[in-house]
Amino acid sequence: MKTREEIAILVEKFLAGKTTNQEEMMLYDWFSVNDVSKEWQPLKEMFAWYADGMPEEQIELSEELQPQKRGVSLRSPRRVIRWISVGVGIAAMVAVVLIATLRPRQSEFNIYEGSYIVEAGVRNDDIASIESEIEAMLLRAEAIENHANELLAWADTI
Amino acid sequence: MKKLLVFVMLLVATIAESQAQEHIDALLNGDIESNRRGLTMRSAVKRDPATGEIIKRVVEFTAIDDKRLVKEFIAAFKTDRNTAKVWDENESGQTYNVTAVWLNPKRVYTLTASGSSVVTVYAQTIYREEKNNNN
Repeated sequence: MKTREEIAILVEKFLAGKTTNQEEMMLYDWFSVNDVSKEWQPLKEMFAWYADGMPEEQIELSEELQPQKRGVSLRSPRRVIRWISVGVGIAAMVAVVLIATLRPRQSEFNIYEGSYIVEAGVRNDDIASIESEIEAMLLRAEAIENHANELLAWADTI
Repeated sequence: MKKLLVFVMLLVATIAESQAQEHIDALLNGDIESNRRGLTMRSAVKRDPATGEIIKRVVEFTAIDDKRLVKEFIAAFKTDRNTAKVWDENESGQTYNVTAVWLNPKRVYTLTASGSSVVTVYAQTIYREEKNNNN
């Protein structure tokens, strides 16, 4: 079963016209069996329409009073504009979902989480209050590590 | 047979790693939680901002006015010396310095004994080299 993120990627690919037949079938199947959020509802409708072989809507047909007779193509400008609008809306939604799910996650934690200081038996692990001290200590440790790297390089030459 | 050999090799490597600086670690993990004055331990963990994975762990231990601990740390370093990849020591006046390095993962331990009663030990384990972002 594909995840929502994987489906979002496939949808974007679909909208760019780069999906294979198999991927399109996968999208039709996924949207037909899964409940989707409100913002994905237009997608669900669109894929259901594609899956049904893109049928003309009976209501529109009756309203337009058999367009062939009037010399109007089934793909009327109104319908094309409608689908362009839907497509643009969907592309925007997919972009938002992709940005939200695929961007590198910013730290939801402190990079020094787990650090602490014990002084005279009193332990302080409040990162906010010891952060500057921890950073200074890591700088000292870095200088030591650089010295160790020099020693290792020297040892390798022997 | 091959699997058994690999397992034994891994086991030996694990045991060797855990024994590499065990005397020093035993002292560092000893009585630091006690209420003794003059003891300070800073333990820093540095994580990858993207994944939260620990990149480096550093312990800085300082004891002031403690001749016994100075002797014990020097003895522990000398005992663990045989397993170190690199050992560098020097003595200048009242100051005795040691830098010892073990590998896989890289561990850098230093000892600085000033006089007979002050000792500072740095013990750092580097799980992953950091990318240099200064460029």
